Amino acid sequence: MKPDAALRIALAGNPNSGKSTIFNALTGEHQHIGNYPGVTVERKEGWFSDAGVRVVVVDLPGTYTLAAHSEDEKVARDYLVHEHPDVVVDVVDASNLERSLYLATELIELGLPLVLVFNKSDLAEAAGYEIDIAKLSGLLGVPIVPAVATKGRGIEELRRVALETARTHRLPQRRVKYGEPLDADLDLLEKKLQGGGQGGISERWLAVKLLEGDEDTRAFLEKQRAAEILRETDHIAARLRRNYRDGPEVLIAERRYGFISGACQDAVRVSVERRHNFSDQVDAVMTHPVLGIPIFLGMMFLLFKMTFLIGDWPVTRLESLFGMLAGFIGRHWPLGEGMLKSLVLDGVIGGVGNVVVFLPNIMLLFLGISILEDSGYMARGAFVMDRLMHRMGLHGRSFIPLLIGFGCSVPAIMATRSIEGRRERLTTMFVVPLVSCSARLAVYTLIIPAFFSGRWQAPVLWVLYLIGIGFAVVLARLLRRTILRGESTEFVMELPPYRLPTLRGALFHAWRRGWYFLKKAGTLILGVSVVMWVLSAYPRPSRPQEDNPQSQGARVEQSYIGRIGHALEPVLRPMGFDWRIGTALTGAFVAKEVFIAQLGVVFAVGEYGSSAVALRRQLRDNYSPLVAVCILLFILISMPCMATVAVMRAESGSWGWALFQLGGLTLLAYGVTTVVYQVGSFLGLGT
Amino acid sequence: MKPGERARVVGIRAGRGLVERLSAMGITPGVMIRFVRGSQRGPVIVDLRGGRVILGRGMAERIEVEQQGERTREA
Repeated sequence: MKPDAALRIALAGNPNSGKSTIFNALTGEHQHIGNYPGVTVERKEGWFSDAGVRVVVVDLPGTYTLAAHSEDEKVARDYLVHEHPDVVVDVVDASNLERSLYLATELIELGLPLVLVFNKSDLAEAAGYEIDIAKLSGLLGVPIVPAVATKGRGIEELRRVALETARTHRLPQRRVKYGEPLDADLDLLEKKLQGGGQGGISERWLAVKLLEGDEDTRAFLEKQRAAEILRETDHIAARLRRNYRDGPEVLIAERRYGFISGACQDAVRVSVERRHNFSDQVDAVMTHPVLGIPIFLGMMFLLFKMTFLIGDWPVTRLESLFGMLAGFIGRHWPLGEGMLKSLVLDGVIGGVGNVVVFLPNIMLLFLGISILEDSGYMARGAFVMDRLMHRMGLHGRSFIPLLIGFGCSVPAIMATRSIEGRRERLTTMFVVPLVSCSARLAVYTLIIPAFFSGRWQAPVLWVLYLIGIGFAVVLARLLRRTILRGESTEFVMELPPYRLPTLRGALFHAWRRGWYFLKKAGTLILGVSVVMWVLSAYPRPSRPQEDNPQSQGARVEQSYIGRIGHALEPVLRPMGFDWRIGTALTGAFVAKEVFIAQLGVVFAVGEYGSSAVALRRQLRDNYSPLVAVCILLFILISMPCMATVAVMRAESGSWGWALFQLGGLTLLAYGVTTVVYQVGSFLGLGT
Repeated sequence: MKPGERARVVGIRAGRGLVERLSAMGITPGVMIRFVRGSQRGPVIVDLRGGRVILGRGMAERIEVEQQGERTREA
């Protein structure tokens, strides 16, 4: 073996098995996260080095099976079948052994070197399981390493056994026994498959998948022109169905569990019968039909407060830090006044600031989510909320992203990760921007007092929020009935026992999410920021001007953004908007609150902050209340900001969805606002 | 079913996709389950194979169980 030849370990296992903790323990800081092309599934890779050999660890998505019905399962299976890792490590939850070994029975058949890690062995012990590792390892025909990943126990041993298994290419020594008549049928299919040139995939695996009725395997064999085998399969399946009432896939699953419990009967003893006791008592309250919902809402309130209230402090610190940085560089700028200085100060530093301000919220949110998830509460929350969310055509887990959307769409879209089905996930991501974020609130609080008397201000604000939520619900249902139609991913999930989350794990998760955001969305946001800056700063007036609000206003009108505003005017007219609003809306693509700053500049009252009162007066003098309502509506519905677009692209895995969302929501806003303005004008409200 | 009651799964009326998802969670014909909690119209929690699973309403209704010789739908 060449000294630098890389070995590849694929990490498989159920969700909740502690797979991520094992992954972190194996690879430490050496990690890389991305997306599998075209899907919303996260791809995690890391490495460690063993005596000069680079060992790459691929963390496959957590799955219960390789049936390939969900995106996660497809990704995991395709990786194993097509990329042939040197060894597969299956992380098994030792405290929930029988169920966790189901995936192992599938992996045994794959024909790749396999090692099982019995993670959480301390919990298994505490629950009264005595597992005879050597015996079980013999019965299953694969090496087993007991471990407690949260305490780092068993990791070195796992490294050693996995590498040894990889280097000796030690395949599983036992077959999963299905009993009669399945074994005979499978043997027959297997023999017929032999020598068909299946490129390293074990014939046993193909035979089992074929009999299970797996579409991918069938398609694969159709391409191989194995018509005879397919006929034989159909024949066997029909006979089984006749004789057993159930389809072959049910029989196979049943026998797999039979094989598992047979092995466990010999090698596992249960000494005490007292599992779930503590969890049961807590659950009696947490999932209580009446108390459950207020508890859930309380948890969510805390999560929201933690994300945005605590997050506020670092956000303002970061903002002033970037202000100071720009000031410092400005004072010590060596190259004289000019374009470059302005590009660096306003374009680049401002742009980096635009990216970094999202970090505290994202990291705090994922810190909170991670704690809720690891403690086991999240599954209870999904149980409590499922009915309500179901009526919206969404998943029980859509609640958190929508709630976080009130703070900011960017972390909200990132939080859709935990939603299982791709359709539900895309639907949730799509409607998140309709929930008014805090940047929109800044616009509302400028405009509403300008046009509505004190008594009406709060109700108008409430109505705006409700309109947003209403649109989100309607649009979600619409999407689920049209382009994202399909049976909702029927809700089946594991209810893990409660456990104490580790701070280290939660911090790690938060950090990783933040880093992922910087890498995947950060560069794009920075790029667009610079472009937007150029649009608003150019072309420059030929002769220097005094720096007063009036000349600033004139300059903006002359800039590209101002010209875009002018050019858009005919299009915006039906909504009652003029070029000034058009200019401000264009600028608001950077971030919704920029709308205010831009308006301030075009109305020549200077930047927002010192002059909100003056700006409100200008608005009142220039626009009718009807136009104000239209502005509010348009800001509410239209055009997610560039950070949302960037993160949508990163999370959906395609530009298509990001642009569809951008265009779709803007068109919707255009339609709604136009109708409101036209009807309003017709009724004489426009004056 | 009522909380605390036990039953044996006798059939799953669903397509291959759902059957395989349920199998992976441990629900196959022949397995004993214990109903933990759940309401008439919402999701339910059941105990089986030493683990615990939440089933959405739609899912629960596709599972046929047998209780003291009496065949019913889940829940």
